[in-house]
Amino acid sequence: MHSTAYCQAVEQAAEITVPARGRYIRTILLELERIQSHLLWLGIAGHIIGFDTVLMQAWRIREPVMWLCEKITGNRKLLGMNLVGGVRRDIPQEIHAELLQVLAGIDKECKKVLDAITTDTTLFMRCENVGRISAADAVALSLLGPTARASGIGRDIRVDHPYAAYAEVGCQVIVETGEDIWSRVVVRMKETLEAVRIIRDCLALMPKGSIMADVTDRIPAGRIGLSSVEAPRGETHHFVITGEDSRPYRWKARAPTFQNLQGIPVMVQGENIADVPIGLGSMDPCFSCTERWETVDLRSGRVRVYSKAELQELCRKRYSIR
Amino acid sequence: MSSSVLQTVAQSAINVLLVLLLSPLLEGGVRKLVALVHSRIGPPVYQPYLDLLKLMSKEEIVSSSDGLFRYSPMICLALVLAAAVLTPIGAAPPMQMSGDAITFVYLITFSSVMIMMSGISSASPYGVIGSAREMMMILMVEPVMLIALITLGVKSGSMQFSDMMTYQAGQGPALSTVIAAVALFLSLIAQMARLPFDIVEADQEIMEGPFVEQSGTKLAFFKWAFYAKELIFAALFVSLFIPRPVFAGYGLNLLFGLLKMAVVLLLVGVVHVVNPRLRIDQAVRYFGVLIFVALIGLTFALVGA
Repeated sequence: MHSTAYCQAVEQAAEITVPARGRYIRTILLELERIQSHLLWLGIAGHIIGFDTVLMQAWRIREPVMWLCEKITGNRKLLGMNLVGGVRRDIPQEIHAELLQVLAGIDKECKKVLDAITTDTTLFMRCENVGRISAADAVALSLLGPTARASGIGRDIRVDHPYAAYAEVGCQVIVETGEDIWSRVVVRMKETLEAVRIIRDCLALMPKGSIMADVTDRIPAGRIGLSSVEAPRGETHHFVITGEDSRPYRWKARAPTFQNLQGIPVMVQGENIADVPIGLGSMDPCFSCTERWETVDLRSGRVRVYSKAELQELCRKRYSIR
Repeated sequence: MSSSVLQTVAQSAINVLLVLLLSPLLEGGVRKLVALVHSRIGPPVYQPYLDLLKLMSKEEIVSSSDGLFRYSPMICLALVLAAAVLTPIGAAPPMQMSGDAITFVYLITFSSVMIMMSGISSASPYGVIGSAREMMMILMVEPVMLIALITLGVKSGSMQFSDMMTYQAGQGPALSTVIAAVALFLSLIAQMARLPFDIVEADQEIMEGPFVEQSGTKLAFFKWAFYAKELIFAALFVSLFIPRPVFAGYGLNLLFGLLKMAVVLLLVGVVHVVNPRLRIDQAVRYFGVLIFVALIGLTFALVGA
């Protein structure tokens, strides 16, 4: 997902056109990632409120997706499929049948899970009207992804700024207006079903041909590329300035969690302690995506930013590496 | 020493040993059931024994110099074992006296208070929150158990477990006793700290609450007290509300009693596995209704239904 965003940014900067089949394969992989991410989240959300049955069953349903990813790319996670100009491997016709079979299984089981959790009154009690973020707050705090869509904000990069093959296969933006944790559950489950639909359409519509553009020339320096991808957690942006020798001169990635975390104070205000973990969990946070730091001298209030060399020196001193 | 005293001592020892040695096995069975619903293989049935042994061999880390922190696990287990002597397991309880049902409730409540004390004295905010939750649970759950027992007491005309058992075995179910049975069963889930009522521990929210700072043998004592409580409550429920069939010999009664207890614990396990954890305010509301239902049962008993 990040690799797609990065490659798209470089392709934009270098004006490379990815062949249609490459774009379709990227779409399929992005949606497979969405399915496994949403199912993973569902399991963890269940675990947070003590419902380990949901955890175990959601992850059992998720497992065939991981096998499928391994079958297509060689990896369960971090698929390593994207290259600037296309994708590394094709999805051969022979495994289409298997893909469709796994998809049918996921489709069936997700509907079953959706059915089971929507009729579970205790689960509903724990999620309804808890961790509310109003539509106005969601806009004011620039919340992203399913968190925003559960507050009635129909933002989705796949539709607003289509990339890969989304313009051809289309994408239904799932919006719920409950503004609470329950709506976030429903949005993610429905998005999983929509992802299954998108992959099926991709497989049906996928044109024959090359999966890689012919990238022989050097990528010109000093060009700017900006690309956005709708990750499972929300929109991800990659900004690239190309440099000499086909290397990036500047690269900035923005993941959605930092933005979504701004909603936490609104969400937990006046809530029970028991609702705080699930409130935080309901936006599917990725804390490693939010790591950044600066040092502030408390007395003078002076902010100090370290350079790369200084950080390396500090690190070496800390771990006595010479 | 007269032979009747000797017999009481022997039977008490049997009860205590039964509770201590068998309760981890029942816990292991429930874990297997939970694993089955989770589509997992699950730990072996004897895993709780290993857990206890492992905890006992571990170094103890003491976070508080408070005496309550140090002694509450032992007192808690001792109280539960004292309650075991009053509990009818497959047969009439070893120790009988008028009003032993009330004593039983006192002992069990006191063991919960010890859990609370451990949390308060542990010098951890998680422990204090857990203790506050435990207090609310005691206030809401114990009345249900007490009212259910009083309902039986009114029907049988005695607050002694052995009289209640004789009455239930002879009379069969009445409207009031059925209501009492349902109320008691639902409160047992909370007494056993099973979902949806494991609010006190809530490891994802407050990291095991009152037990957060306990470790080693002390934690093992608490765990053992929990396993023991599960067996005791299952035994109590089975003896009071599913007394039939009654056999002539102690051994056969015990065997059948254990089978019925396993069924009760399996039911509790099923409830445990299909529910998320309730919030404390939701649980309080739930038990508020349950107290009301139990009171209706008591009223029926008073008018003779």
